[in-house]
Amino acid sequence: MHSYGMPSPMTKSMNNRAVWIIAKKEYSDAIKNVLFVTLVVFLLFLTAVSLLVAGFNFQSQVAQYNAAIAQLHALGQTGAVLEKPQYFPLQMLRGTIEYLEIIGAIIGIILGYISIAKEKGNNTLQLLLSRPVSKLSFIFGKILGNSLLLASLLGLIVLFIMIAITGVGHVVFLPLELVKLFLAFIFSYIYLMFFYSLSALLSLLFKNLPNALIVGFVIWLLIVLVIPQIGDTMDPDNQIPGGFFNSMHMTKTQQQGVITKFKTYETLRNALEESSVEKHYERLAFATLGIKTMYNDKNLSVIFQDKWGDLVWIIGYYTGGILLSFAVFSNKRILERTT
Amino acid sequence: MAKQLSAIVANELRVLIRERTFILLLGVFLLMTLFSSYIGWTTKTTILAIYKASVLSLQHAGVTQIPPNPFIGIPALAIFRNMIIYIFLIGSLMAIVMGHRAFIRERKSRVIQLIFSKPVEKKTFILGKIIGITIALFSIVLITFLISVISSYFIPHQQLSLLETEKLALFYFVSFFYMLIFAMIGLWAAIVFDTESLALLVPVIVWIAVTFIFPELTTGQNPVALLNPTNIAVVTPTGPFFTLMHTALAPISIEQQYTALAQSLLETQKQFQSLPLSTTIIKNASSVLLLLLYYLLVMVLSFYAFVRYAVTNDKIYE
Repeated sequence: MHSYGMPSPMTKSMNNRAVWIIAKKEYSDAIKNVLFVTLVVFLLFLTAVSLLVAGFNFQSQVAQYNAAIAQLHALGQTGAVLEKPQYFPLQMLRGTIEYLEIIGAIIGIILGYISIAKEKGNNTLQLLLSRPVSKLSFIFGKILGNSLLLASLLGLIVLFIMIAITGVGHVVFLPLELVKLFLAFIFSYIYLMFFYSLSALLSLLFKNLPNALIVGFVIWLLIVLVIPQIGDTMDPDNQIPGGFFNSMHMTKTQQQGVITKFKTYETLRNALEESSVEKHYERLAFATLGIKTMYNDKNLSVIFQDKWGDLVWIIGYYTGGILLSFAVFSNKRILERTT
Repeated sequence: MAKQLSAIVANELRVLIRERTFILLLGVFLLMTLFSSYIGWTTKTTILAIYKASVLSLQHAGVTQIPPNPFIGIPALAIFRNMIIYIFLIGSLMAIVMGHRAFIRERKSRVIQLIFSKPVEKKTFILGKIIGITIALFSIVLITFLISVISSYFIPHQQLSLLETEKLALFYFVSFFYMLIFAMIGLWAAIVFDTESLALLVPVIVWIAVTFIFPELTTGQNPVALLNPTNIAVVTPTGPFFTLMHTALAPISIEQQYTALAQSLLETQKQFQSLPLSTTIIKNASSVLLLLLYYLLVMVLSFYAFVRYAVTNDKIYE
């Protein structure tokens, strides 16, 4: 049985001490949970894999460049036409962001599930509701605890990245790069918390808890993998390796001129991508980290001028998820039916 | 034994179609099969029109040497290429849930103790479960095949020849084995783990490793990039690290062997076009054998996990 040691007297408003006690309990329960720990270790392993792959990819690019230069020199040419691969540490994080999109979202789902399932499974939810703790305190405590947990997890990943890039790669981050890295992980936190709230919502709605987990996985599959995949495969430029427009040797203006003639198709394709929170998170993180090369080395004001819409979308999804969970939790009929 | 076996199989099928979560996944999978044909067709039609518009734009700009149409001669089967990705993503996950639910259900409701209070052999029971899952999965794949064939008849200029229909059938048959491997992993985890959510999560981690990590290590491509059928058709490792990883891991990577086989069958590249069925199979014999080997391995693993499973002392937590 979970014991919260709730303070008296009974109140309907938010009680800071109660919020903090619930948050601490959430934190300590999660770090003892084998599911959560397994996923965290797995995510750290994937971060290492993605950094390793990015490093070897860069090495391959440099080797190819050196081989091409040597060949041109042998032919008596200078090689000035070739662009030397530049190392930007934040661009090495593409794989890490993609794994956060996939596994990070699963961690959010698992946390949301654990957060509600442990109360429902042990019948502590009814007990809690009979104690002097407001629903607002309960929800805020849960959100605070899991926010701290995800912030710790993301902090651990940032630390890991910095050790790997600075310690192993001997590359020093510039102050602007550190700010961008920090911002990218704030966006990751918002993205992960959306999945937390979604899963908490499902766990509140379903009487059979493992079904809530499976439905959570189905929604994750659609939002994170299937919908963006459809948008990507429908992109006319993605139909042949290297890009269709490149193969036609067309300028950007010519490409745009052609694409405007297929407005309905492009609107449909874009709408599919826009409907996925994952795509907004990816666009924002890729622009901030300079993975999308047109934003590399750009100031934050330039990036946000273009990407504020994506930021609004992910904050909107996050807020919507939290508010919906709270609405369901406040609904006595739903709670009685599913507990 | 035969009577008991058929009763277990029939029960497995009956219960499965009453499971809401399974029906949800099945619905998504069948819908995506239907969508796959539509997406393939609409993309093909649009890119052909875009090529024509691009030619006009270039001619208008005074370009005389226009590159040839790269989309000429796209095989009819190529419109189903997205199905390879949907089998990785949805089909495998659905199969995991099938295998997982097949055994967790009995454990949770404690029906398992009731069953073994009667003269039922463990081997008969687990065999019944495996046959039930196999029949259910085969029926689903048969339906998806029929959806693909029927939908192709409604798409203009997209009618499949006999050879193409045979290749499509074989693609689905191979996909059936691929999904069956994941169903067996789901079943195995449901037998060996004491926590229901862990029994679901472990096969999902295996699925992520197979779908994302192995291909990333052997090709150097980012995980999401490999969900685009155009990218997976052409990836070749560059540099000594990826060449080494490719040499060591690709022959045992179930995802890559399945992809290679599926691409040949769906003629995603011109060199596969119009190859006789026998040639396609012979060329990919190692991939076929590897899929079969993995299937046998996980099936035997599930079988023996259940033989060693202690029915009376069983406890399952959420």
